[in-house]
Amino acid sequence: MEICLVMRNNLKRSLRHKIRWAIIFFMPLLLSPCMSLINQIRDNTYRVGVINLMSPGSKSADNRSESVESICSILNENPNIKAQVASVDTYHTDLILGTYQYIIDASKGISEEAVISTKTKKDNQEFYQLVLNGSLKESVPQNEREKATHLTMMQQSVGFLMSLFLIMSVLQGGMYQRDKNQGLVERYCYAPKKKKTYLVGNLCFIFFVTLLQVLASFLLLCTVNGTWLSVKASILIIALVTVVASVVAMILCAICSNDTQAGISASTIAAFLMMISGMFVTVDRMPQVLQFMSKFDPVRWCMELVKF
Amino acid sequence: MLVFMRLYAFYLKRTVKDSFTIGYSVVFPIVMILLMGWLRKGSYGQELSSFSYYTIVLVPFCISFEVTTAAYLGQEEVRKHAAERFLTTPVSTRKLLLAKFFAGVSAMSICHGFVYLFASLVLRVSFHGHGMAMYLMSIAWTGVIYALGLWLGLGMKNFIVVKNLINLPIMLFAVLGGCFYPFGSTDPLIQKVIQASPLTWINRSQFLAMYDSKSQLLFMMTIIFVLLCIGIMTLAVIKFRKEAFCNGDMFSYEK
Amino acid sequence: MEELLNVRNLRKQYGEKLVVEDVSYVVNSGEIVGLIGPNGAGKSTMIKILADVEEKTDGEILFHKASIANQVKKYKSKLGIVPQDIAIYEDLSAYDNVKFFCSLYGYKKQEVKERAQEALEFVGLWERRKEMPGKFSGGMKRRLNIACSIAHSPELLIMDEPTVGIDPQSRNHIMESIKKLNAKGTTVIYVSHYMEEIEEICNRIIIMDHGRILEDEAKDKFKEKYRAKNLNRLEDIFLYLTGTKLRDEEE
Repeated sequence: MEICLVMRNNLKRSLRHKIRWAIIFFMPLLLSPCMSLINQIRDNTYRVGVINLMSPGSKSADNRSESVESICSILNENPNIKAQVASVDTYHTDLILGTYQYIIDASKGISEEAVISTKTKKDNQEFYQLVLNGSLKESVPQNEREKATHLTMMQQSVGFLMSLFLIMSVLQGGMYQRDKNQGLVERYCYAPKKKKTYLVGNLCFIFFVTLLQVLASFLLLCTVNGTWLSVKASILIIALVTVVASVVAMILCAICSNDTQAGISASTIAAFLMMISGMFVTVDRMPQVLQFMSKFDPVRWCMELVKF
Repeated sequence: MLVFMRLYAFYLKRTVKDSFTIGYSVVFPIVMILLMGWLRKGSYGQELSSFSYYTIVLVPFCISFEVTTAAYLGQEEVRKHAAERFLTTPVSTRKLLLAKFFAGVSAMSICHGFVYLFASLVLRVSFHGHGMAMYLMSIAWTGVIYALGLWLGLGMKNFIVVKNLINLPIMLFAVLGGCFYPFGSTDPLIQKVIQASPLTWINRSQFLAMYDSKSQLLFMMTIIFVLLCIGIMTLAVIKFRKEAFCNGDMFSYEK
Repeated sequence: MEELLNVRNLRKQYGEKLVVEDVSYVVNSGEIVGLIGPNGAGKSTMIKILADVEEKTDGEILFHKASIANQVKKYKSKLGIVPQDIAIYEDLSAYDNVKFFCSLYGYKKQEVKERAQEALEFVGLWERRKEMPGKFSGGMKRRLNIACSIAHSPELLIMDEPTVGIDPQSRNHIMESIKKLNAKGTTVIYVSHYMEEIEEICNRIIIMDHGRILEDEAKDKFKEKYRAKNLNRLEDIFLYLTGTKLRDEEE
């Protein structure tokens, strides 16, 4: 009963600051589809830049010569390639930052030696073979991460949702820390109540608010992605995200001395879990230690549940 | 000047010893670089190691994250209940804020320099002769972030709400700027979205200097950041709220 | 007078440091006991032990002649503590604050409302019940602090420096309220550094120092005892017993 009292009390207190509550409540609802959209924006084509390193005017920014344009048009015949004239002055940076995945040096024609990239020689050879053979006409997952991980957009979005709520739930838990610092938890214990009931009450409050947020965010995600999972998978994902986020938030709020520390710890944990979940690198390409740790990663479990 | 130097030395000592500063400016970047570099080993070819890539992109990202730390350091007197004591002295708010600013930027820059040194000596990251220029730009970026943090912490009524949400746009900028993986597109519209992130420009200027021998953007960014610093600090001084300085850790502190 | 609280050989040690050493005293029903002592005497630690917030190292505490260890819930439901630091929710109205703390004692909804109203009227804050404590003056916050502790009508009320930093009007109001509470049957242990308050309302005085009780006597007998030494004021008696040296020098 005291748990309900604490939970109701916290709800009343948080609803006092309507604007703040609205911002914290709706922020994840705005952010989760954003990530989906970002993933969708990253198109599934090979982005190829064409330059001519040997032409007399090759140092200028505008590098349009006949061979460059003709190679561009040849490559653009393939629906899975987007080729355009690249800048000779900045092609290294464009490759590194992913503007182009491959650069073709037009002075060498369409040959294996003409392919420049930050990838391995083997990848360059593969790309060249695919261009020559024309098998790119079939639709294949071109995005490197997707090719390697076979992660669907929905999996990535759900993984991001888990990480987002690991951070957001801590915001709700900040109330407990403020109460601790202001002597209110001690005051609560003057009554014949145990401190743990106050903790559990706060946990229930965080759980309730997070559940509402996760439910709304998940529905929005499915709508934006256009992918609807089975009822079982949806319930499991929502439950997992809510429970893990709430428990982690409460533990951090109980052990950290202020809400900034808790927020920073939550961000660090979320970033680490995201990294070893397989979102950026396939799990089997990770070092053994991280592969082992990945087994206990709730972000990974969420992504696996999508296939359920 | 004497008072300013005393305040500067006082805040510098406190900032350097602060666990948030050490954590966010030294430990966090090093751990992230090691982890991401390890995870993405071999993804950037022979010329550019993954450790190099992540040293270059993650340091500015970690600097961006320090905006909340900067705001908290600005509000340190609030938490120690010593704010009113400062306000009753004949020290102007301008001197107070500038002392905090320079002390904070100095402390954080020392920490970032340590990270670069670690990357250079232990991870064998090469900056292709542009190490100093990149370090200067990182100092300028630290200045912008610190000025922003001070303004948010001491010039804003509802910092206690804002602080919880400020990391989210930073994460978005980091994704767009390629801090976790190269995020590029040839589509003009998407490129415009990517260019909205300041981290895109920072990372691009660094790679241009190192791999395309084009340092103009790097120097331009440094100058722009210095000007931004001056602008934001001016704003912070003008918008300084005594109530935030004295009571900023409470909701509805304005009576 | 019936014995309400009996503290026997209470001891509290933090590592090597003995903070409360063999403290024994009895509080009878209907008394207002003044507890005074220099800073670091062990008063706050003893109050925390009485409030069951800290564990004692040794000793026994009897409430109505039964050990509190066997009746923690019953004991706490009859105990009220007014903490030294104001512990109220800044983001709840005065009324909601009192209702929340009262509801922790198991009362039904209607009774909680009635008790909260009674407590707020008692401290003179009923008219401002819907306002946030953030808008209150220091005196009003202290009164609200008290209201949160008395709403459940405790048998024993321990007040830890309840009048720190407030104006004479608010202090006078609190003093009068304590007398009224006592008249209704509440036993009070009053901790304060203000000697005039102790002299005004307490009928028994306990002086503590270095974790030990130096004096435990009825107010009249107290003064009689030290009149021969030409010590007429409570403050003079206090300084005579505890010394005039600053505490930090000794530490």
